[in-house]
Amino acid sequence: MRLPSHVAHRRLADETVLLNLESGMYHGLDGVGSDFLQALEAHKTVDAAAAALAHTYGVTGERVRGDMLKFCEGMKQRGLLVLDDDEH
Amino acid sequence: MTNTEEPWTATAFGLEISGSFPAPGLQDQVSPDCSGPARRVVLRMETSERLDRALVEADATSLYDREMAGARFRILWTQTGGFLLEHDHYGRFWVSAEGSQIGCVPRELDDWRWQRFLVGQVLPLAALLQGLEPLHASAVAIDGRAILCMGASGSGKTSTALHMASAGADLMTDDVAAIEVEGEDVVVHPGAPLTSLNATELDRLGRELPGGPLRPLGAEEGEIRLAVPALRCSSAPVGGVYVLTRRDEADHLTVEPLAGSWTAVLLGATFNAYAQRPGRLISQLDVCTRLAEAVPLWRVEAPPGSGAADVAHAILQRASGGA
Repeated sequence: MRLPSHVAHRRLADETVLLNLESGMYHGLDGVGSDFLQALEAHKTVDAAAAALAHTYGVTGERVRGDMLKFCEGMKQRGLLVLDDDEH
Repeated sequence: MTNTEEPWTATAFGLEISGSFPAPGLQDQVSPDCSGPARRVVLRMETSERLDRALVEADATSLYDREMAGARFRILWTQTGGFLLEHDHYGRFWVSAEGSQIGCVPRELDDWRWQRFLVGQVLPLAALLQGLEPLHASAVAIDGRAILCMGASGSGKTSTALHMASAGADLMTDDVAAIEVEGEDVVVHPGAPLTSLNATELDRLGRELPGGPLRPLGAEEGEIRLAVPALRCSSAPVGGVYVLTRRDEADHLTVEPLAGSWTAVLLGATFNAYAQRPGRLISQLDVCTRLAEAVPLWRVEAPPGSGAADVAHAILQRASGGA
């Protein structure tokens, strides 16, 4: 998972703004969404990102993984996240 | 309208503006105290034919096209020709791609009337193209720090700023604030010394500010266009942003830290229709992020019946550290 090159983002406290440079549209993420995005950028795969956040949140990796997959799907539909070919 | 008047130079929105046609109010903002901005813009009267040559419509991208109150307002853009702003009520205005030249083809109207559009839309675009970020906000300065008043149309930005000025703050701008990041600060530049108020609010103000009387230029749609006697002439770092809201359920006036999304507030106050290039969009995002990082944001909730003077008093009290 990664952000496409036409998406810029800035995080401030518990909020992240994503900017789609192709459409000129802004999108907002709340605190959890911001954490998900940060973990995905750091760990590249949903499994690794979910495991890292599960440790932080003190919950099971499976629970985080389920929520993160939904998050990724929503981001993908908005053109804000791409699935790398080698990741399933 | 031709370019026959004595040339003048004024400052507004961080720009040094020169023109050679009457511009009541705008051309009066000439102060030797103003530090000379490096950004310059030349205003000229033009003919529609010359504008058409500058910007061939067939090659233009439509950036904005809305009908409001029976008038169409659209913005066209080409890579080399710049921007064309067309408004049914006010006329046609060309802004060069780098924002240093403006050509005006106004409707047959009193100067102050079509220049509302020049000041409210065209000059902010030139400022934006020269690297500033215009926001829909009014501003005053207190103790060298600027207070920005934001909010939806009709929320009372203008009357609140004028009441703060009446109470001793320095009026900096009405309705459009040109801001930029300077080192650790986000600074706001003075705007044009012009404002619009309804007669009731003007009477409440006593028709004057500490610097002198508010000079009526004309009236339109229930509002009186006014030249402001004295505007602060130097930029100031932003010390606070106050978002004005009216709430029917509120029983008293509150000023609380802005909870929730700063994004919607700050990005929603930008002139987004012009922000099409990636570098420009990122710059806009960076300025708004910096503003949210560096400056306290407040939400002012006013109940029905509370006036702009009450709101101004509450903001001044908060800005000075009072309860």
